[in-house]
Amino acid sequence: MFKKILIANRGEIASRVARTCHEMGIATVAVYSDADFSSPHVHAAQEAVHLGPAPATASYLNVDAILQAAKQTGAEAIHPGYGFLSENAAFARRVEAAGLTFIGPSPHSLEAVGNKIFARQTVAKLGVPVIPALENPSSDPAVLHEQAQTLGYPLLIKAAAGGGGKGMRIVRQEKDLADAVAAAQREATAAFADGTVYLERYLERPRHIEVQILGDKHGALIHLGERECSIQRRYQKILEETPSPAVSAELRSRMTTAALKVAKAAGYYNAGTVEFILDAEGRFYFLEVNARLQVEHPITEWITRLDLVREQIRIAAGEHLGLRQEDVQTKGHAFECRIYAEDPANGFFPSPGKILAWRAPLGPGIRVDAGVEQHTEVSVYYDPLIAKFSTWGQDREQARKRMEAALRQSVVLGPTTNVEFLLDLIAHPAFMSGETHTGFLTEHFSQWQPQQRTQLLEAALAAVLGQSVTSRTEATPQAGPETPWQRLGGWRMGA
Amino acid sequence: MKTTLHANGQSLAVEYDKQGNDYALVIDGQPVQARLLAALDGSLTLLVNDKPLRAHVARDGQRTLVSIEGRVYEFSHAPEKKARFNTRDAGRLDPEIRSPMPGKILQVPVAAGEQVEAGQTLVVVEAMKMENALKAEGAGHVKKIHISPGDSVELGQLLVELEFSIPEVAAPQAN
Repeated sequence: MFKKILIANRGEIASRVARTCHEMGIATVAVYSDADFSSPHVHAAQEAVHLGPAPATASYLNVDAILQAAKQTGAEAIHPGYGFLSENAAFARRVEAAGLTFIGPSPHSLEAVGNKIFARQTVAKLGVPVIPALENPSSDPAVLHEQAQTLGYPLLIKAAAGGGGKGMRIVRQEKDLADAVAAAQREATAAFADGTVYLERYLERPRHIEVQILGDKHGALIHLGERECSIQRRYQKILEETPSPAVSAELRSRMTTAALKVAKAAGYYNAGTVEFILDAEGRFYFLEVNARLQVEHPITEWITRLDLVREQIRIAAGEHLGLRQEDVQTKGHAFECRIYAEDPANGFFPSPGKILAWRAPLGPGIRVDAGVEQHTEVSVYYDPLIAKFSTWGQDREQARKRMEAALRQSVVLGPTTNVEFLLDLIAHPAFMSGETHTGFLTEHFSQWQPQQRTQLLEAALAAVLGQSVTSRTEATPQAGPETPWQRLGGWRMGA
Repeated sequence: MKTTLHANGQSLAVEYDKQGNDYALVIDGQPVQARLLAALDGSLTLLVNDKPLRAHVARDGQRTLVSIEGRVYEFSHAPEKKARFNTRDAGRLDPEIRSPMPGKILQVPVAAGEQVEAGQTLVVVEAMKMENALKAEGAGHVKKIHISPGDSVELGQLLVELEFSIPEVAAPQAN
């Protein structure tokens, strides 16, 4: 087993990986940019190495600096978290060339599943259904229009190298096609240094269902059930659950079999996710493989009682999985809500800024993976994820009620967040009955505004009393001449 | 003591008298009794009309933010301050295109004096790796452009000014 691991990431996921390393008796090295000197993830590790300026290209994507940090601290393996370099085959190769272990799939598998066009073709050959698509869109607008005609509208533009909704666009009318393709190419170039895009038929009201898989370097490969991630804004998930209310035991068996077939064909080991979309008629189509730990992995951990990071580390160290499919017994239901610094009443625009007050919820069946603390900054340079709340219950309703309790109990002041939006979302009748699909938010919440009335009088009272308490403390009268203590600005030594 | 708070275009008159930790308040014409049980680091524990209340308060310049039961209320002490920078009267077109977040100007596909259609893209801002196209809310012409591609901009910064060619849609009478 490794003695020391470098965590090449930031935020909640870096802290979460460090926690498991600590449990396993493995020392940790954090890395950080100029924007993250005082971020919690730096202090979750035993050592920390400064990478460079705030922009990700100069820090968390700076391969040379990360390898140098691993070398100088004597780390034996690198955990990439999610995002940044986690699915970058060239990075995985550089890690291995430096004599270190990449905690993830092999560079070869990363390449095989990383290019979505290639992955689609491979998967189609296995007999797993794929969505009709146009894989070589022309750069000539006239030809592109003709190609799109054969596919039909609405259609979806996707980045070949992409993920996380970057470089994606829905096009409903022919006149919007050229602009949307150009914007998607720019976004893809900026995010992945590869502007290749392709077009896909867009299915209305589908569900997004993904299968968690786990494989070792000796050929063992199992699945850990599905997650439903249909609640999305800008193609990014904000709420996930497992099991999916739409997946029967029979459908689960077919979907997980397809997922394992895909993973096996890619020679996949470590943790990974095979994404599908499920249409209103119960037909599923392969979407893509995410060759890394997913943001939403805690809900799978809740119902399987496994630690996916521990499994990742064990697998990377060459250990046997030691788990057979029949050993995996899921129990209960779990939800995850992603708490973002963004304004749901205003197009979900990011709302970076200082966290003035932060309180994580506590209680039975509640887990918090947080990337912030009071007085830390949600930086404009990175993803505005503040924290992930996940809850477990014996059944869907108990897990939902626990999520409601978690959201109500949480405090995030400073940036505008989606907490209030999530509260209204999980109380919506269509959500409560499990009628979710990827257009759910557009259909039910496009005109959403914060209520601002529920407890307005109480809030006004608190604002006034809070003010009165603060000014009373600040205005404590000082008797007599100024003493040295007063000049020290409130500090007391030895008190 | 008397004070006025503003929230989402609404004014709330607050009067209060305090005796020790007991407050007698009149908020928006409604009498309220409150007892402050504890106040620490912005966290207030209260009895309001004998019912328990927990609230968290933070000051941010002109704004006072209050969190109760997961919902955040934003108050300002100056009436003209908009609680949310782009909150405005329903039915009115906004001739001022402001940046919805700190970021970088990627494109300005229009020129000063140019005629624009409703829905036409005026500026593309990039922040947090996402592109956001800011569009004209109505037809008109570009009066002034304050930025150029590559500029870094702040939240709420004025980017482009429009002049609508038809009079603004009348705002509904009711608020």
